[in-house]
Amino acid sequence: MTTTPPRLTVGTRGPDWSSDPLTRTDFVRYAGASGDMNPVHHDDTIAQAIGNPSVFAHGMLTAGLLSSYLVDWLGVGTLRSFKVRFREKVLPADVLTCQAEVTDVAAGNDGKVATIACSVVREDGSVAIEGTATAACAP
Amino acid sequence: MANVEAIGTVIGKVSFPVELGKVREFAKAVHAGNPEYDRNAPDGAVAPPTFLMTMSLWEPEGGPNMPDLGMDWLRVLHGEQEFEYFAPIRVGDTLTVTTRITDVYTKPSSKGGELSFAVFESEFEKQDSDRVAVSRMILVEPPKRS
Repeated sequence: MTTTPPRLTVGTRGPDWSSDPLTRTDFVRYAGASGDMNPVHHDDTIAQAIGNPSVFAHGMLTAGLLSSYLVDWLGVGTLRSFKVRFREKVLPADVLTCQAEVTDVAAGNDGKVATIACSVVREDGSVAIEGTATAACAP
Repeated sequence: MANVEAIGTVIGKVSFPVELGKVREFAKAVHAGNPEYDRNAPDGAVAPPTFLMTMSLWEPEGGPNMPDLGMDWLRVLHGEQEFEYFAPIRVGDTLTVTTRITDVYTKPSSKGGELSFAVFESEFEKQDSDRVAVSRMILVEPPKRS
């Protein structure tokens, strides 16, 4: 079963969503779940030795949060593509805000497809990741 | 200096099962709240969009069969990641993923020096041989400071 896609038009915005402050536990949980055991994400000594203030989040943890936000909004099984560019590192205690806006709606092979610009923004306004998704939407 | 001769190299092919416990663990790690990830979903739990990253857990010991890309791995960053989805991936599926290097190139940096890029494309097929997804990872090596 997949969700019935929502009706989307150019300018439709996703709901406001912000995370709780991220913790080292979030990083460790993602490390285990994904298999990405790069120590810069859980070992402060190593992270600082190469010039970081502390450990920092896996880029794909932040991207995963953004994809969860999109699925919560658009429904399971509606995403056709998801692309992200990593910009700023995400640190422990960061509160992340996910944003999304429909920039195009066009006829696809199996119905209408919306293009969505999306991003994850840190509290200081810096963009951690910016992305583009395409998703099936109601006719 | 990027080694363009690496373009086209298949660095790995592996099959792995999509398991309920792994999907739930991953869904929790990316704060996925949707009940479709639940085991009670009628057609089986759907894996979250970025679940495909767990393919790294199925790499052979010692890592993939990586040619020399002319890049310094200690300095390499994950620049971009892209997924295309053709069908839902569900618990109970067996995925076969083939990963190849599809591009290696350099670009001048606006801050001087040269950026090196490598693109890894992974094609995922289901047990019935249908292509269900493609992922592309772009790694970047920033210019060396002189």
